[in-house]
Amino acid sequence: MDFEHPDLHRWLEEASDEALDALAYGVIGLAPDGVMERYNTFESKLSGMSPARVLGRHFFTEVAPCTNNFMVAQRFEDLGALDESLPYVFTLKMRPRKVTLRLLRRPDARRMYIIVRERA
Amino acid sequence: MSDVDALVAQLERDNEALLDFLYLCPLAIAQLDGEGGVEMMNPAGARIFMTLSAEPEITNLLDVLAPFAPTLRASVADLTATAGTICENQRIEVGQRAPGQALPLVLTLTLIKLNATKIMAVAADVSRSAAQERAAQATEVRFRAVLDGVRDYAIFAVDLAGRVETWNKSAERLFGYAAEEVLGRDHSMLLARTHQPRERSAALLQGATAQGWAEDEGWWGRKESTRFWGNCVLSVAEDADGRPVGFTHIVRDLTRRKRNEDALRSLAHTDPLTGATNRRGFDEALAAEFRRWGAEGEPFCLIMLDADHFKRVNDLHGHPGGDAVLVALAHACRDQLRECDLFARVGGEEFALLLPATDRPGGRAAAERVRVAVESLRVAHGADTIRFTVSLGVAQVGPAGATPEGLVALADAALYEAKRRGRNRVVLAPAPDP
Repeated sequence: MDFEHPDLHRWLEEASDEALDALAYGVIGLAPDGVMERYNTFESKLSGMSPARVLGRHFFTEVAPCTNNFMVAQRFEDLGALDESLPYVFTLKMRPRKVTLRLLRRPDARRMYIIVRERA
Repeated sequence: MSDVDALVAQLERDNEALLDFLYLCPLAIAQLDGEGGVEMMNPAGARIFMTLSAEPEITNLLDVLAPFAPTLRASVADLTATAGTICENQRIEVGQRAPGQALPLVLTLTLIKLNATKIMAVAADVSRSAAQERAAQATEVRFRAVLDGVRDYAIFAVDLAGRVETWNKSAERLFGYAAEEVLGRDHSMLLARTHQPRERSAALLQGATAQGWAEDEGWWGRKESTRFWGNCVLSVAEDADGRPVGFTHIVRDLTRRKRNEDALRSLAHTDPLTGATNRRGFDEALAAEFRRWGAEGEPFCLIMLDADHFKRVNDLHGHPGGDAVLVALAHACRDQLRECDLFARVGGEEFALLLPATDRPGGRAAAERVRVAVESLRVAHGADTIRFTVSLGVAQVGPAGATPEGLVALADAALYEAKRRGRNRVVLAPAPDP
């Protein structure tokens, strides 16, 4: 499944954990309250954090406070429907890494998603 | 599981815990090379420094900081020692960077050089405490401004009905009343008698009851019948259970400041030759008089006055002669007017007299006094003695002159009629409809 696919959100909703783990980009799935429910292998490798450690935690406050700002967390909070890509810097294992974030939220979907792909 | 496997698993868990710890650290931490290039940084660093960066990336921290701390790079270069502190808790005012940002961003930054190729950077977001500091400073500045030029202040308390309950030395000094003259009496006695003391004190107490405090600036009265311009802050006094029991007043004497303001104001509103109010001052006063009339209905009069044959005075005696006449005319008018009347120069030799609380007969009498006073003037100018007269038109506010323009037109028409009838006389505009 392509990072830029227009139907990515719908596909993620249906996809199994194994399917997510096969992707070459990071997937973070959040419940409507921001609690982490999905965390694929690619993202886990990037961050150095195992799913067991982070699942069940609140993403914006307990895992990645660096996204608790107007660019990411605020967008999720303000917009009922959201499908936006933005350039960002993640400090993965203390190395600043240029990434593209795709933020997905739909009123009818069960989860919100943050999709992470490395930029050149 | 072998010992080695167990050790590796333990190391992985430790590593993960360490990462987790750094991911959650609220301080920005970064390790830089000798030139400022970012080698390692925690997420808080990305969050804080990204706000400063014009690009969605941070390659070199010194580049990112340069617009906000222009001397920083020089400080790094200046440190020739292999190790040492480049800056410690240096405050960096970043300001408004993001549309949704509540407070202007302020950082403190510490840079420590470890060796030629390694600099540690620590930064904290202190926007909130910086904002609190600013607010505290603003309050202090305001407080000082109020205290500036304060000669004295008084503190006294009144009960819920406004009766004075405490009266100390400061109040005695400022107001001139001894405690026994004031205690138990209504505190409106302390407000200048000429300025509706009952209404003003009642409004103050009402305001304080509604919002916990109130502020007022106005005239206060002393025992010896003098008055002073004071700022009063009063707050509700409560008993141990939080029930209001009265009000505490702090009154400051700001007379000197008020006088300076008034002097400036009158300078801007005065005709330099005659000392009369100028056109602008007249327009403002007339508008104010109309507002008062609208609110209270008390009649007032406007008199338009014009020096007769003024052109002839100028032709015979030159402009200095004309000026001398206008100055003498102004003095003569002043002498015939009350303190509350306004005397304004509205044209070359045309003047307006605004008489509050005056009806037609009163206006005609004042105009006639002025006419007679001017007629009897002998203005010495060089070897000459100049005599001259004035014509006056009187109009009372009313249906026929219910606007500033209308009233001026009415008085002007009466003045024109006085000229037409031969000058040196007073003409009354038609009486307002009953």
